Amino acid sequence: MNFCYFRNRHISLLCILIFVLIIFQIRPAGSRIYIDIHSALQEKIPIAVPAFRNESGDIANQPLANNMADILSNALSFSGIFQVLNPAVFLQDPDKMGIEKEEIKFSEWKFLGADLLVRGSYRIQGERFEVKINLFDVIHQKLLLSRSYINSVASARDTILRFADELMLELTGELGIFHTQIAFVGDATGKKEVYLADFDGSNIRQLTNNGSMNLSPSWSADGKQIAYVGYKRGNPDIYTVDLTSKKIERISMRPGLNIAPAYHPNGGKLAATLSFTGNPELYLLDTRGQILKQLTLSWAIDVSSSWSPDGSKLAYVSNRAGKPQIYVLDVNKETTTRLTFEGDYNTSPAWSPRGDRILYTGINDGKFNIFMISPDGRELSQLTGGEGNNEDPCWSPDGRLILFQSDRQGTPTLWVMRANGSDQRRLRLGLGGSHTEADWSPRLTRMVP
Amino acid sequence: MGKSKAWVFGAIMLAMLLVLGVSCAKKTVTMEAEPMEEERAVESAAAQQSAEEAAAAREAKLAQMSEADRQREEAAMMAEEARMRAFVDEHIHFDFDKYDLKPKAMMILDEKAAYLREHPEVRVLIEGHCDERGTNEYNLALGDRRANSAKNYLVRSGVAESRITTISYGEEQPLCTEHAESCWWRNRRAQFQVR
Repeated sequence: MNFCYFRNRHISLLCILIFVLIIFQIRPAGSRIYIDIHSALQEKIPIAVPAFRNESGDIANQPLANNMADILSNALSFSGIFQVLNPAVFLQDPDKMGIEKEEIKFSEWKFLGADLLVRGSYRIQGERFEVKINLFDVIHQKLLLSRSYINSVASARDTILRFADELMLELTGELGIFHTQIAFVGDATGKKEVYLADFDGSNIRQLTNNGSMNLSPSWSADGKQIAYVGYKRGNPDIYTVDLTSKKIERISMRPGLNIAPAYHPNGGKLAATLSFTGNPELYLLDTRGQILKQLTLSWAIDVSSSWSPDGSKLAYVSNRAGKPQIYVLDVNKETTTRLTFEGDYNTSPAWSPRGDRILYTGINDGKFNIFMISPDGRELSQLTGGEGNNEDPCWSPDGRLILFQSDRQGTPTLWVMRANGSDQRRLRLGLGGSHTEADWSPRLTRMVP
Repeated sequence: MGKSKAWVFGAIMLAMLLVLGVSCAKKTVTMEAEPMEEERAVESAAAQQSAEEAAAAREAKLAQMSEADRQREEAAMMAEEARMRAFVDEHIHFDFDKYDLKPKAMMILDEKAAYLREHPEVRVLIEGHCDERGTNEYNLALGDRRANSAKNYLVRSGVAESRITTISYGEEQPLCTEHAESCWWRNRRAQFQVR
């Protein structure tokens, strides 16, 4: 199932604090706030990313000039926040143009409509790869961010994405999502297996390879483990895989269902649906699969849980009122409230990283679509519509993007949209077959190899 | 459903034809029986094994009988095997997002319960399935409830619970893949495997 988490509440609070500091103290009065982190409806910011300047001047490494600008442009476009200007309209040859403030002709960039400008340069000496990147506010002719990196040529993509993360931190008060990955289920081999890919769909790796059926990948809050459901031993059991050691453990193998794992945001435990009593109920398990607590007790189906970012509440699906609807359980108070009342079929909730929204899959006019609602049941909105069936949403860890599956082009594939439903685009996955049940990782300190 | 009933009828008709053919041509019954065996499309390994065992037992028994007895016994055993095939081939169906048993499903389960009562050695695996609509996890739970609905009915009909296991495949193993109700109703099913 799809549960995208923020790493933890403290980091979330820290980011908000940093943001507040940026607004009120670091920025001089009158300076513009580029991105309001609480607004999903902002217009895209025009940004120019000309080719990087090759300081060593050697032809062999010249392609990097465009490659690095492309990597950065693609990442910034993917974020849904920026409109990256088409380099064809640029007025100067980027290789002849300096990267320091005094060398920039701001009036030209302003004329082209850019609010922001990124200028980068690189120098290669043997194995040593130096990159310097500056971010300018074109309107106020001001240097906003300057970073230098020393690395190897092989890590050019990682270096650029690191800058992109820092650019986001500078502009929004929160790191970008460029060091995240997605887990999903693909059937390119003819069997459903769990795959991993980078945030933008590149760098695909097959995580399970057992030829049975593997479903519902879920990232742990620290990004070090993935839980999934596997039929390898003839029953839907819950497995966990350690992404560093690649060690796989079967943690819940009770008779009946062992499905829908969802790691707790503070780690150490996970919610799951088990049906050994004859009825699917939610349980809290430790990471070895021992039951810590039974969370639901009803005659009906209880499944597909998603934790609130503080770990105190659980949104889940129950059909105790006859049709599947979303409910919210306060785990400590042991109180349950029904969240959705519109429609006859509401499933697969996904609680936002900031805690202020819950996504789910609903049905109208015979088609499945993505809806969003506040945890108090207000502000219901429909995010997809008119294009096939759209299901199983999950959040990017910064809460700006939503990943979901859609059959609008036939076979179900993964799509990305902004949190307001705009900018829907297919994730570029170089893999055949269907792609389903995606889950977005938290920010990773180290990308899973 | 209709197909399976037709099969049972066909099997009985074939058995009768066989009996007639034998009396006219005076061939031995056992020689004729083997092509019949081969024509059967045996789906599961378990079912195949039981079919083979049944065939061996039948041949042994037939060898010791008079021709008239053999013919009657042959027809009875064919009918018995047809029942076993029907047990595996006849699925029960559900409405969208439902796991309550419809009258027709109960009729089929009554036949299955009778078969299981008469064959106490048979163990059964009930698979719960859904159509493609809706989310995968909810459908796994729905398939689980469908399999358990069938199981509970059989238990209430006098079949020991220990003889029945269930598994849900949700929407993951459809019988057909067109995106229309003509196909979806077939996929919303519980199906039965002899173990």
